[in-house]
Amino acid sequence: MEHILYADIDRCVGCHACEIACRQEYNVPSGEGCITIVTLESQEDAELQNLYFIPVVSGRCTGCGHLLETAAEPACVSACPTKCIQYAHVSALPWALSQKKSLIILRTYPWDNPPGRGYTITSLASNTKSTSRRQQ
Amino acid sequence: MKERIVRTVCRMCQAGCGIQVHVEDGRIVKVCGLAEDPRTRGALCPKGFAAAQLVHSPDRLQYPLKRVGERGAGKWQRITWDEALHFIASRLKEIKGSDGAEAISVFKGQAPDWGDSFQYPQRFMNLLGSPNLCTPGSVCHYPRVLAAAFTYGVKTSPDYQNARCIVLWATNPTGANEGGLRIGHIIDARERGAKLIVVNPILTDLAAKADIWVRIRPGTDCALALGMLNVIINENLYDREFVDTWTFGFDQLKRHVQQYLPKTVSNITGLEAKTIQEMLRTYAEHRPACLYDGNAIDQRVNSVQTARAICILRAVTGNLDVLGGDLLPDTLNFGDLRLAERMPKAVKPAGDYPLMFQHRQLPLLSVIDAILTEKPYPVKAMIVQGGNPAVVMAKSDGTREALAKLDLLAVMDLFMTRTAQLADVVLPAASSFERAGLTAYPAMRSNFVLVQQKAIEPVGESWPDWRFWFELGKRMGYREEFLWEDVEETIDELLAPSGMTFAKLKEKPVVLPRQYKKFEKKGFPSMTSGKVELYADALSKWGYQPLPSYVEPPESPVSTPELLANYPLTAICWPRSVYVHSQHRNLPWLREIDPEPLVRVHPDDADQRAIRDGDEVVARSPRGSIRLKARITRRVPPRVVAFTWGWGESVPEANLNTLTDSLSRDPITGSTANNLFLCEVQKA
Repeated sequence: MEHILYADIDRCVGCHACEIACRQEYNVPSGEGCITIVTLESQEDAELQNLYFIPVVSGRCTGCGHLLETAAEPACVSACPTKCIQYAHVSALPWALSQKKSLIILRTYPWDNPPGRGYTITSLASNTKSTSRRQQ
Repeated sequence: MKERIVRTVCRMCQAGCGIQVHVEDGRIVKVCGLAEDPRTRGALCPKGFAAAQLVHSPDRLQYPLKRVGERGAGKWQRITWDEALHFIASRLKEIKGSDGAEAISVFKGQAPDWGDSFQYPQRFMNLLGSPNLCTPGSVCHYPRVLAAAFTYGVKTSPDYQNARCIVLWATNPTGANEGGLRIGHIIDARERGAKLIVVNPILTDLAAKADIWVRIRPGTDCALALGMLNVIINENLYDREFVDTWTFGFDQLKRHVQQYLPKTVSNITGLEAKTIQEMLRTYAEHRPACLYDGNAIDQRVNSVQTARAICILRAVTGNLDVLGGDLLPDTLNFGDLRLAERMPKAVKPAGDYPLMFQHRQLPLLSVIDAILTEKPYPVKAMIVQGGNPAVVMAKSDGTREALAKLDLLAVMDLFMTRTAQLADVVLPAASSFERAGLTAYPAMRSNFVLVQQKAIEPVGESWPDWRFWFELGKRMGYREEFLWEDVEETIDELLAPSGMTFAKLKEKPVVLPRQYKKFEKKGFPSMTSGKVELYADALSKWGYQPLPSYVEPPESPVSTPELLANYPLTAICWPRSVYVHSQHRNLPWLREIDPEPLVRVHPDDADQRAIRDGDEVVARSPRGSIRLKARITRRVPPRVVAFTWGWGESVPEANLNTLTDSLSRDPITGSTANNLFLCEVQKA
């Protein structure tokens, strides 16, 4: 495990941009994307404002390896209007957690994660962004 | 073929966010956000990401069609553009000859935008001599525009990034992004400690994140604003220096708001007095504060005065045009192609809404009435462009009846909508991705001047909207006035006063520097006194109230208690998700997220009616009934139900406007209460 996809659920507004950005990136039909927003609402009036939007990532997710080669972010990360979803090397996690307690890990990826469907890449090692993160 | 990337404006809704469109072999393969757009910072909403499914939809109209069977029977014959224009022009000339130009109307919807593309039908109608250019403005945007125009000249935009307090009033910036997708700014502000106040009967996503959620009784917003003014003025929480120097009519305002005591307002709004106190103190004491009021304010019968009361709040708290407050626009100077001086003065518009007519935003329902009653005169033709009045207007069966009665109905759209189905001629429209433009947002109304570029050639035989007006204009005899061959020439004319050109802006968008307190140099724009008019003398000259008062909604548990036996529930609209009014249900990616029309019901009301989550229900109002599914949730208050809006196009039996009332209207704008009426919901 070297890279992680995580979300600050305090920042998620449930807009669904990540879902559609993911389907667009892989040009897959409805229902075959990697990320879905689940809404959790309270059944108690006293806790009414406890309304949560939780991004849930499926096992299909590859972390958009093909996009990382050009130093971009996974499609769901760059789509997010509130920057709720983040992709980082695992070493960044302690700092992130020290800033915010509302983080949840969505998925972990091996360093040599496979490319996205329909794409081929030679090596992620040429990704300077990823390499420098690895050296932190 | 190699992939091309075009920097342009997304027009999947009115927000106009910056995008990068990836094009391969003449097709859009991907749409991404534009990092240099200061509003979105490279993000985008689901609609933008699904744009390719709109542009390349198999349902797109490919060529002009002429009706061959009975009206509405769905029998069509393919014709050429030349034949279509000839047909329309000759019918228009006949009608103008027999009934006068005023018998010809245009309905311009929101889909083709309000920037350069709104100037061409205005130019056309001014030359034709008909005042009956109508829009959905009466229930969208224009009540707030007029309120601002008569208070401090021009509508403001919130400076979320620098505010210490943000008030989101009857709005949902997550799904409905007026002026650009700026939800990220709000979330950032909240994280750095700005107070967030949300005024909404529904627990919206941002109400859940709010420091203070003001769960107001639907339709009583004006009372809350006036009650806030009462305390802010009486307890000296206002900005005295600003009020003394820059406002007119403070004493009249002070006297007027004395009647809105906290206790009175608490009774009207259903809010606890301490919630009102906490909210107004937080707003008044955390300056700079910005206050954004949304479209729900427009869809009321007291729309302009409600928006006026909110405008006055912004002014007396000293938040106008200050860093972190409510900013007056910083824009380029634009030309004007409308030829308003060519419009004969003697011809009166079909509806008596002079302030809306000044903005060429005549409410459609006044033309619908004229078609049905022939008063004040008959209206016999309508050209509909980028709108769907057959489903989006209050009590839409009346609108459909009127459209079916026309001698000529021409509809230009991307799809065979329910309005198009009633037409004599249907014209295929190019989408915003297939035309250049100078959109209202961001180019003409914000400080980020980004132009819309053509990403791909028009699909099939579709035409961009401007080309239709240029060509029809020529055929109607206005050859000299429509000399242009391409829209880039008109955009250059619009840009001329600023010294910019379309070519330059294509290369690089311009960010105009923000200037604050602009009124100190030039006064408040277009106010005769140069000041903020708390007491609006100009409104009283038109016969309207110079100070806002609370008016109980025409249909509510208070104003019509006799209806409660049969219609005990107050109906409002659920916040918009991934659609825009009646559009976009045919895009599979979006439909998956919001698959079907729903009515949200509180568990207490559901229990009383033995309704379970997912049940088919029938909703009835004094006007009619619809069928849809129920969702049980505490996010709506008891005795209030929330309908999803705009399903009338794709699921006709769930058209909310079967239930709405078109008779009660705002005196200034003609706004109807499309999101506020009484109803009952029962198991189907």
